[in-house]
Amino acid sequence: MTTRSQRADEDSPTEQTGTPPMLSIEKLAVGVGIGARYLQILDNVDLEVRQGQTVGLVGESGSGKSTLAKTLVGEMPITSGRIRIGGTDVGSMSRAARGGMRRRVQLIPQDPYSSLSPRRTIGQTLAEAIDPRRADARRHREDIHHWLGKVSLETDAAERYPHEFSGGQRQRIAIARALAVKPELVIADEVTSALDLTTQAEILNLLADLREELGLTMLFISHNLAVVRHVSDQVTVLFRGSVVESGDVDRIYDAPGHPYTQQLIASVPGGPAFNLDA
Amino acid sequence: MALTIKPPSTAPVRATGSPLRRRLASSPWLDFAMRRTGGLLLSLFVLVVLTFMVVPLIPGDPALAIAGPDASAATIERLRQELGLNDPLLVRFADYAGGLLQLDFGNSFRFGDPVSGIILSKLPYTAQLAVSAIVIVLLVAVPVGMTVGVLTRGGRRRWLDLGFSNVAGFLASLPPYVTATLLIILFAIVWRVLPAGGANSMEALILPIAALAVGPTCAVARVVRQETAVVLEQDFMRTARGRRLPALRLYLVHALPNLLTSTLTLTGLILASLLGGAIIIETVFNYPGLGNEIIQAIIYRDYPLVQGIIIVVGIIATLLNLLVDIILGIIDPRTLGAKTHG
Amino acid sequence: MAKTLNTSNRRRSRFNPALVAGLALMGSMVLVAVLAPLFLTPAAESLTADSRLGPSTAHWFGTDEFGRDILARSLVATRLTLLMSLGATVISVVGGIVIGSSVWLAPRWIREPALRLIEAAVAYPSLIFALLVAAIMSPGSTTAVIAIGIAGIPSFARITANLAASIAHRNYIATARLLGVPGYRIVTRHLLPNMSEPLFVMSASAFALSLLEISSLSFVGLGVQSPQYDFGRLLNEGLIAIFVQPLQVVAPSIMLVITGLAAVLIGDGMASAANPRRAARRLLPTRRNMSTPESVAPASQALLEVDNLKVLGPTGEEIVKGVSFNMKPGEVLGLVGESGSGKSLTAMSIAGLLAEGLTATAHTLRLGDLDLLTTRDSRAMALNIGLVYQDPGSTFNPALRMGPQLTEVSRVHLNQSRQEANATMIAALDEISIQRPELRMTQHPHELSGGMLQRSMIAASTVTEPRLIIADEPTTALDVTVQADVLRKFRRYNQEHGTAILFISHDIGVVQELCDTVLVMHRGRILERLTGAELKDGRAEHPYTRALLSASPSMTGEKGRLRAAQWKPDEELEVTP
Repeated sequence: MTTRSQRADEDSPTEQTGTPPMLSIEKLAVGVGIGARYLQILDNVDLEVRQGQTVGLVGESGSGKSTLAKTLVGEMPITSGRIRIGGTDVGSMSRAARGGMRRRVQLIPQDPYSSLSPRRTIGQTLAEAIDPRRADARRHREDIHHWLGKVSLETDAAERYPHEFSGGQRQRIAIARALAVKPELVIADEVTSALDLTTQAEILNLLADLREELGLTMLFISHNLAVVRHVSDQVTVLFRGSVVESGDVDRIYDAPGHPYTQQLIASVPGGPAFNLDA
Repeated sequence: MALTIKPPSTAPVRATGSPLRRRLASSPWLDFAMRRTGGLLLSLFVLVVLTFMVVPLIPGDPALAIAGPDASAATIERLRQELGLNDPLLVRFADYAGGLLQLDFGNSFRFGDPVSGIILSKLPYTAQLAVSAIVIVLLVAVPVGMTVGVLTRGGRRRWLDLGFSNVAGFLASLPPYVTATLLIILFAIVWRVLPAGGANSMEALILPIAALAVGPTCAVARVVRQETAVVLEQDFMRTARGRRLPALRLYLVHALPNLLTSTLTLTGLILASLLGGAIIIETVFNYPGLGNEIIQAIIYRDYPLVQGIIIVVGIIATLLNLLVDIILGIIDPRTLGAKTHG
Repeated sequence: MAKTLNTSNRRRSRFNPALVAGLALMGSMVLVAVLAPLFLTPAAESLTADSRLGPSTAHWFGTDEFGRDILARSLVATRLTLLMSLGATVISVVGGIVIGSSVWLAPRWIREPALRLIEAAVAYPSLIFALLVAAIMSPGSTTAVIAIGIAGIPSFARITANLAASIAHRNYIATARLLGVPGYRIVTRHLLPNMSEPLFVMSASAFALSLLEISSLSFVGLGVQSPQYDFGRLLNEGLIAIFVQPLQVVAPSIMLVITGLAAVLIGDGMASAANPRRAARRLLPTRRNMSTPESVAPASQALLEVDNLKVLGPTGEEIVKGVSFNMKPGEVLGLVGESGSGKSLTAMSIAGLLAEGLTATAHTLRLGDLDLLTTRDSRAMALNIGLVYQDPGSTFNPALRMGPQLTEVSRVHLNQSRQEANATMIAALDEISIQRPELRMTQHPHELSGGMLQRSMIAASTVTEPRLIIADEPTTALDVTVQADVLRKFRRYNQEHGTAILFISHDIGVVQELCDTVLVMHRGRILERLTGAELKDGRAEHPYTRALLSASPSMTGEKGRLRAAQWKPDEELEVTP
């Protein structure tokens, strides 16, 4: 992979000079509820994604990885800390500016069955991504066909409805929709979790191709450690709302430093450290 | 970072803050009580505002409308004074709400007596009617609906499915006043076995209760049947079947409680319409309850009485709704959380 | 499989008997409403001397006290009744949709109280609202329409808000917001189109309700006033004369019931047409049966013997196409495959727990000396087979506490007392490292984590010391560290008690670690049989198994392209396990 970060290790991300990171999260805290019912979900999270990089975010249920995704796309408010996208601080922006900011970050959701409106053709869905106000499928025909081609779907898919497609094909459409916005950062939230092994392989290959072709910057969230290792340059491990470890993917998988990371990696059946008789 | 690795399978504890805070947030009944009290007060307030607005909203001069076109100017002016129509709206509302807090609903225009007294004397009649009907509805509808649901599970016994849904659907769509008149014709006129009205004997109650209960019984039975079909297909029913339980145990212990949660929610709404049906039924049977009273009060423009009855019926409906939710909470504590939407 | 069934059925079942009957009835009522006033007005309204005649060929239902034909009046009244009901329905539906969707668009601090208020309003008899409006305005047809229309708004607003809430968390709404689509556009483009079907169905019900309530308002004298008349008004006039002319209430009653029934039938019909799940119901009864049992001498040392097991779908198509295998006592056998391979159906056929509509047949299906095809011995089935299912969140009964569920087999089939069964169960929970087992027994399933539920399920399935445990994707819904823990419990139990385990999974990593033997399934057939160790070393023979292996991302860091399984199944391919 040509885009792989050249740094040997990066326990101090600030050393890197030059262009600011595409996404930089500093001391982020997020919670829900108010007063007595306040529940802290993310605590003191630091994370950085550089241009062209793919950063994997792993964690189990309750680790707060989905909350982080929701916070990044503006669906959940920040309690404290800072999120900077392309150098601009999201928290200090006006409402209007934040509206524009939204399109700079796009999310590919997990469930391919609820991510497409059943009453709209694929063309209409993609047109909405290109022009959210008018969403005219005829006007943007060229663009729609271009993006369908990018995810290896026939152009006649534009006239069809979601129920005519398989889970893997729907996931391709969801990817096309996210990319059609030309976002600076793509968040892939468990994009292969609902898919069979074979289909998962197809989607992972597609993402690898698109990454090479378009130089995507991606935050790849998954509970599947093997998949994260396969696609990521860097990896961040979340446990109960906090980052326990982050760094180069090979270093962390081959020599995990934190006991939780060690346990996590040793828990993957088929992995080298796995032992049922422990 | 101080982080101890516990066996990861223990329940995720993410609550922060003091132990007291955590306990407050996690006691479902307290949470429920707080939320529902708020909701109760809010809906009572809206009810009071709505009933208060009846008089100011009367098109034209309310005093003229109430007194009738033949009234003299002096009568109308006296009425204006009495209604406080010359005062600003907010002052009148404060008077009205203040009176309600002391259970003072004002005096009936028509009888001159306190409204609260009239309501108290009529309420037992309506309660008798409605409570009997509700009890009959639940006692009949749940077993019947569940039995049909079990017998027709997975497409078995098409004939029963079709027969039940059509007959019950037809009876459920019969308005109670039509049922009532047909019952009168049959039992009071053709066969002459039951009285056609009044409230003097137990026999006089049979037809009104029957007329009131038939429709809701069929409606609830249909809901129960539907829900039975849904519950029987759930994963936990497969688990229970996997234990090879006797049929009775399977349906009564495992299916019934789950059935009740979804059924009761809908039943609450059906009961509300039953309360409305009781009002109409009373006029058919000339039954001396609140329903008959409010219809007369509206016709004679006896506003204090109209307002009073509406508030009382409203409180009863709200309490009934609360009761349903409490029963739901006892059966299935999960329903105490967010009020189910759907 | 279910998915394809549904889509094909949805197209076919647009019209069903209820809908057809409802539309036909409503159509004839509309016809009456159009024609009757044109031809029958004189008979219905001119006063004659023929007061209160009985039924005759000239007057089928007799005449009223002013000598007007009762039937003619009932027919003419149809127009006003239908128009008023329609008007009230439009008010309720439009008002409800506007309020319901504005609530959804409103900020949170308005939304919550507004929803609560709508809930409260719905719990309140709508007729009372109508009476309130009727008390303000003077009685008449307009008042009735407005009163009933307004009274119907809360329930429609609630339906709209509920539907919106159920759709709003779908990903396409969140995505649209992320794309920068304005709020009102999301409502018109995504929310309303996806709610239209249920809203349409509910409108039919709202019409039925408006009809009955408008009539009831007229019936008590607060609706239509003389000389106008609708069904309710005619009922009101008829009730006064009920002892002398009972037919005078019967005629409008019949008209009212027919109209109401038509609306209800249309509503029901549309609802079941919109719900493919009901329409897709099959007709075959569910039964496990056998084809001619061949007198095969039982393979002596086999614990479980499966010979030519087939599972047939609702229309008789083969989903599992003849599967045969044996299990030795103490063996851990894995069934692995992608979705649609038939691995779960195979397991559930052995357990006798196929879903409605599926049928299993086999030459032999035997557990020890228990013939699983014919046995009616529920006690033997319950005690010999322990079951662990996929999703611990849905396999426990949400309404019951853990204790009674976990000890049920012991109490029902071993006649243990509650105390005895509880004590055994608590020990078993402790054994499988569940902390505070006494407390867990008194809790409801939703109070426990998925891992705890699944370990409790394992404890419950082993406490009766079965000969075979069937575990259907038991770790799929669990976190990876919890999965490792649960797998270790299976391994330990197998080693300590020598219980055979039939383990179903889609995860090659899991089966290769846990199982002695692995059967690879694809589209209802077993393609390959190999040992767990062979699978772990990648020593697979069959091209499909090799394709699966090469499609799995690795934990050891080879990156390149994954070979997305290229193997195309050949239906004629003769495969021997």
